[in-house]
Amino acid sequence: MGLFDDVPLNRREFIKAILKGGVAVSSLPLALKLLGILEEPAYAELVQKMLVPHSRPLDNNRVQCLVCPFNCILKIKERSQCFTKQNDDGKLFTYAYHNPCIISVDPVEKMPLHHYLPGSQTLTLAIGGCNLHCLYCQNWQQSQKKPDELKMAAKMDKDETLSALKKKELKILAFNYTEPVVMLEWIIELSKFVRPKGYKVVIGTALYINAEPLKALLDAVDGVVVGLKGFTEEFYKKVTGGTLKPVLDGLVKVKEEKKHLEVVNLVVPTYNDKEEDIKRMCEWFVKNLGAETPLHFSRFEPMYKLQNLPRTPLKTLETAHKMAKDCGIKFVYIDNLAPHPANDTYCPKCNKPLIKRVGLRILENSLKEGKCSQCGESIPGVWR
Amino acid sequence: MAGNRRSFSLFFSVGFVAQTAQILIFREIFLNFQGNELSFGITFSIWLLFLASGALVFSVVKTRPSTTLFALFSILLAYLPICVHLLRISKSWTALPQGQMIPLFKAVIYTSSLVGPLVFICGALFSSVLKYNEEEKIVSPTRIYILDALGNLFAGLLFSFVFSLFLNHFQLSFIAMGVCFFSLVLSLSGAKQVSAFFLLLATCGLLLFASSLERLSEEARFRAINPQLTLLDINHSPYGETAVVRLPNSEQIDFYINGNYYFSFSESDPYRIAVQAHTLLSLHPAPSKILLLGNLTIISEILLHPLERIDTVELDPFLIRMFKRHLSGRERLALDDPRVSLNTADPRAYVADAPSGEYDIVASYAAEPLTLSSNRLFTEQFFAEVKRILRPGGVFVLSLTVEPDAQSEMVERTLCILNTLKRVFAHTRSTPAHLTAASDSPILIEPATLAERYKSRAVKSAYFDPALYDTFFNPSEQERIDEALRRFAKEAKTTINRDENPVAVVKSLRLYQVLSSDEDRTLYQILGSIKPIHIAIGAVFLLLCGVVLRVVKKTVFISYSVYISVFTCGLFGMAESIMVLLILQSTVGAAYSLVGALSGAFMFGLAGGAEIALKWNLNTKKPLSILLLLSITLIFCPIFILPLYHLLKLRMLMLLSLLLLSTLSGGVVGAVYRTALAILKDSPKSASRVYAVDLLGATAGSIVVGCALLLTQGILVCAVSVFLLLTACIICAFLIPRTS
Repeated sequence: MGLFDDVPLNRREFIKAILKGGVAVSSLPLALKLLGILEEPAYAELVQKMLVPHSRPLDNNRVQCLVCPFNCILKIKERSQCFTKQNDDGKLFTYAYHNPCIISVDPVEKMPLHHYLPGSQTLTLAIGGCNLHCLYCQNWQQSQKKPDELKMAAKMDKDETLSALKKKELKILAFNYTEPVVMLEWIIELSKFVRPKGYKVVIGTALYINAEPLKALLDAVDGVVVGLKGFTEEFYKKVTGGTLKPVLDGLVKVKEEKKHLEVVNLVVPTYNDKEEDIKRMCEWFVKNLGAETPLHFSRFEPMYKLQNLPRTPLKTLETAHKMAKDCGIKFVYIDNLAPHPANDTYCPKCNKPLIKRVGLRILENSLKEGKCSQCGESIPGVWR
Repeated sequence: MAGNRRSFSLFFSVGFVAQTAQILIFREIFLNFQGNELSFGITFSIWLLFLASGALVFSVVKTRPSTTLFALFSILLAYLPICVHLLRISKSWTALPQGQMIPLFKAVIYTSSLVGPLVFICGALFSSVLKYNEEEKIVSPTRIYILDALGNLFAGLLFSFVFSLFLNHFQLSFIAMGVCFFSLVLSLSGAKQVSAFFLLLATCGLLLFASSLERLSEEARFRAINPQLTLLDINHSPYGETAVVRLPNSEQIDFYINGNYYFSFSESDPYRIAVQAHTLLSLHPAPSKILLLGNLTIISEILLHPLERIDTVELDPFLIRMFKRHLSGRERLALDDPRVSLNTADPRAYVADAPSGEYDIVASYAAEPLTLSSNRLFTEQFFAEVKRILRPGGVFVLSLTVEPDAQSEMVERTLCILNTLKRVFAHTRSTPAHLTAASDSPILIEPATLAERYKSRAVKSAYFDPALYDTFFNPSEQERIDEALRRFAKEAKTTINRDENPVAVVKSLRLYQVLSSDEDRTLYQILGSIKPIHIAIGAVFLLLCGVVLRVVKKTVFISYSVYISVFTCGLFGMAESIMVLLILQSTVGAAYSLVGALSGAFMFGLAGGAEIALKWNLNTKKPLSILLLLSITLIFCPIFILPLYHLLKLRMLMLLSLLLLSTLSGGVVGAVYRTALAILKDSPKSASRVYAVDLLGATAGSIVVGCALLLTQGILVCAVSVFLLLTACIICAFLIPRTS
């Protein structure tokens, strides 16, 4: 009668047994759901949405998002790459709206902005989601999740934002930690509300965005920190999931629009630390963004999915710093490692240390009306 | 008869090679796939399943026993070193970017596909020796079972206590090969004997090249981890593997422990070391004596403070040797400073033995509680031991990453450990400096206060500025961490991490899952949701099956109830062993030799139980029933050992209890094997099947206890759940009508 008896199964019995086993196995997920073992978390109270203007309808109730170069085509109820956009009944809605998961008061140096009102504090906001999926993301807990599934999210509209700025006596509204591109609509709304009242708006972004929404974004901000993550298409594809070209085009556009720009390059050992790549990046930088645009080299720490990679060696950062200087870039910094001489701002003409920093703190600022206190050289930036 | 007796070595070598393969493969899995109890549990379940399949299939397939044995041994032994190497380089097949950890699901798939054939052959070997024995009429099948268990016992003890200290994995593989070919030479005759002799010679030849092969294989392994790393030095110890590697075009030297990045040399990383040292030391207003559990690299910066003494504890003596070999300059000199005492000991045992009220700061740099072995430095019992050795106002500092605005997985893990700390200490703080502090006095972490403490000690470090306290104890970030913990605390149940209920392990594993891949999300969801009620439903289902069979089927063969009894006993044996291992890991830690001793005790019991059942001629259902009743009594014993140990603090008594319990469990399983076999008339086919069913029961035990319940529910719930399952199985076995 079976495997464990000396009487063998006949063909019919064998097929029967196989079918029974098949039914049992295929009903397992259902059984698990019935037993309450497979459940998805949801925070319905955090669902805030608005229509995405940068989109177009397609056939069969599909819709295409036109915000970033992924140009996601979404079926009904489908979410975009960035976790924030969803096709609801043939229309594209963003769920990154009024629901920041981070509300923080930070030094502006944390962006990092070294040439923009040094020593100021920002009200920094971030909503869950990101269109890139960097393997080393420092804020993976927020950036790689849907905004409406984050427990720490809170409701915050424009009036509440303004009152927070007033209450904490802050002059700068910043969007950092996660990707501002995916909360474009919210940034524009807040910016239109707070900028006329004298507040500045700055963003820290990977700038993976299409030309038209970029124009709208730049119109809404005063300063931009761009994470130029590497200088090869291969790196972008492998580590971020995106491509390099739109980022470079975007950087040129930021410069053309005359927005305050600083660029950060996180040096990841064995990925983007080749000297020839850094050299090429610096040459492109000088040619397209100018020698006066500040460039930061940041140190990699084992993070998110790249836990098994060593920290960036000090020597690598110092070599990159020297190469950038040799290429003619005037303001080059090393971040995420202090106290180091390359944390400070020096006069490009007389080499006097003008702003001394330790970590996120300004120890000394000897700039006088944006000029070197020793030789009078004008230092580019927003100083008051 | 002399020739027959020589065949004993063959039966012995089947157990010997199976145990050797198990030790080698699981050590490799540990090194290559960030081994933790969950991955071990899953892999071990699959291992047992393949073993059972091999035994079952070869009990049915018709073969020429001696030829099959020769062929199976040859394939197995040739594949063992290859398998070791393939496991080492399997990262390169995963197509994962360098630096990324292998997700659990992927690791299990790779491991199973590589190891499966090897284990299948081990199972097949058991059935084949039974057939060989039948043909040659040497000894009863139970004796083979006993000899196999003794082979297992011998290999386990030899490798745990002797070989693992001196030999690499290729040398161990070749020694196993040598033993097996030697037994073939003794047992076989004719051409096969001659071939075995030449293979034995070839194995001896290979042994000469084992060190070179090991080195090449290790280099290939690190190329698989990251093709740009250059391996400078590597050392194996009973606690794991320490490798020193270098990045290209860099002076930085990095330490990898068990395949995981651990730290970079302080000469090239002075800033980080300085931050770690000075953030730690400023948490106490005036530290004089401190105890460092791990992280020897920060000593040079710590010595800049006016301290009386620094005691350090490192588990692995080889690690200290590696430090001394590779550190230079002031880092090396710091280790020889008269104020520094370097101790090699188990950190938990060191703390337990330290005098009360001894230290101002105890700093633990234990790895994340991803395993039971590291979790034992995060439990309530350990924290209480630490509190005892702190002076009044003393601070306990844990290195634990908490980020502002952290989301569910990280906050849940942190909350679990914070709640546990709160049970012991009056004040706790998780800081943005990746340090969690606990004390009975208020913990001050305001940057100004910390900077003042630093300045008042006249510390002069080239790599630290007190202004950095503003960055590392940023009040805004601190506020956000506190807020995240407050918000989650409202929803989270108060989970306390204890030795007998290691809940932090699963919480850390879930965090690790997010860090490695989303592929494992469902697996962890299922794991985290399994409750005792589900086991109770399973038990009721089993009972219903028994009732239905009783009512519907007119005649069911007696073998059914015997096989169910054997299955039950297999389940018991594995569940009991895993619970005993939990107690060992929670109290003694990563002591491989003791794991070997426990495994040896179980095998000894197995052989002894079978021998006694053979001597007493147990061959009816009655002794089988008594043995099964004994098993459901023994399943509760582990519950009492831990509380008794914490009460009496007698480590040796606890170890003896564990050894005794393992021996008794093994004894029950061995006796059930023999009794079941006797009821089934002692045929070799039945011997194979009983062996396979026993393994299937063990698989079930491994899944229920090792993969699901133990880590999430703790030892008490686990024992009760297993009791329910065992009872259901036993009732089911006796509900079935018995018609022979």
